[in-house]
Amino acid sequence: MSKYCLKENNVTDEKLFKQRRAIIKSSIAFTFLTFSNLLYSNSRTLSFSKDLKYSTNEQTNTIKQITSYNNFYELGSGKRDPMINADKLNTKNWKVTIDGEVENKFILETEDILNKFPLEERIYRLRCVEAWSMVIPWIGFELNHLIKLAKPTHKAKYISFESVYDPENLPGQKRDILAWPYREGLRLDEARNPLTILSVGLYGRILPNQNGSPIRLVVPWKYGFKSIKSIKRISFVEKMPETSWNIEAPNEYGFYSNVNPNVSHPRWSQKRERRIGEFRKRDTLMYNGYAEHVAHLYEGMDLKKYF
Amino acid sequence: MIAFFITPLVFLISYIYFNNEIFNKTNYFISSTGYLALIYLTLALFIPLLKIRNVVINARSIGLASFYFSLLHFLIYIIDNNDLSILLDDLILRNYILSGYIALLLFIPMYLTSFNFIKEKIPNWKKIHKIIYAIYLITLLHIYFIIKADYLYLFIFIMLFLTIVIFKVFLNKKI
Repeated sequence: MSKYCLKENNVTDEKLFKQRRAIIKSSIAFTFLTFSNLLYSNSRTLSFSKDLKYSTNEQTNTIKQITSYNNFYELGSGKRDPMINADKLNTKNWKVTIDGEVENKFILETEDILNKFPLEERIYRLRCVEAWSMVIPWIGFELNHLIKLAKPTHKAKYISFESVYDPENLPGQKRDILAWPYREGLRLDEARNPLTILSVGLYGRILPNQNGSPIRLVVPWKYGFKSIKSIKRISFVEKMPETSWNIEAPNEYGFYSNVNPNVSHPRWSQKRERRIGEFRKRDTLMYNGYAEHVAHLYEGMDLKKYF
Repeated sequence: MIAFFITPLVFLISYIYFNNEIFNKTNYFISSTGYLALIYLTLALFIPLLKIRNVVINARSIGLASFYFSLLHFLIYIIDNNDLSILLDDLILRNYILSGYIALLLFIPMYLTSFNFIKEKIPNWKKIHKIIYAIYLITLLHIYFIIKADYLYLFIFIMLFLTIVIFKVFLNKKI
């Protein structure tokens, strides 16, 4: 027998041979699926307690809705841009500086962000100034825990927050769309309110980049833009801090920006909102439905003047 | 009408209906019909520069498509809000709503004089059609008022408008 002749048992079975394309396809698919599965499980799950006192029992929005309908101008100004450009935000070795009028200045390292404070799940309504809303199961800790650790001095009246500044990588920061880095602020008593949290996750896992990874503010009774994403610096200050949207259009975005259906906005009627996923608009609630927890903060204030 | 209005409309509606990743479908429908109206308005200004005579592709049919999309843009907004007090509030308090109404109102005489039997009665109809420049400018204002911070698209439309106007002035010696 010539060496070019194959033995019967060396010949690929005809049945298998005819399926060769399908086998290659499925092996590619298998590799791909395993990898994408790995990527998904790479987003760490968090351990947390469930909060019942402040959480709403309304139907939450889906993870898909929460992660692909975003306003995060650093990653682009379209609603889907933040999802598309999510990988442009580099969160490796993230540090948050806590400074200003405090006794204890410190830096939160990446691991501190997830471990230093007790995490809990808070299911909050989020009301965007553009008259749409969602219900989101955040994982985070009360900002008050961090304030207690920093020990603000008697001079501290406000907190100023500063977001990431990385124009080389963040597509939105290549143009002067807003006053970069994005800045926001709260009055100290607002920041101490138990509703105010720093969020590090949603749906039980660490925050996706487009939602403000690795750490963001959530102030559920204020319009969404107050809840600054991807925080780099938290400074305790004496004077009311400047905020990016207020610099952009002072007659539209005030420092307080509490959800208020009775105060008209030059762009959107704030009387109603569309819950993402619903067809008909629904009425907007005073302080986004959190009046019992926060109305006392603004007693005696003219809410039309301090919008 | 079919080529420039019905066909893209059917595509748009099925795209919005079947795409599970558009989460604010009504707002998407409102803004895309608005942008389509403006794109057609730009084309209606641009087509006469080419000096082609075509039964299908001409300023009239494209201009009509622009009008139908603006009308649809307006109707969805009305149906979506569906409350007289809110609609009045919008009209009085919000510049972008007021400018939208004005642009649409100015469009009506252009629409009416697009019919041949009315053209016959109004020999000066071509003068009326100069309103298109006013409509375009007011539409640019309409967009300017609604943009929060990123003016890139508005800038592109301003540049297109200026280019077309400059070409018309220098090539045709008349607008």
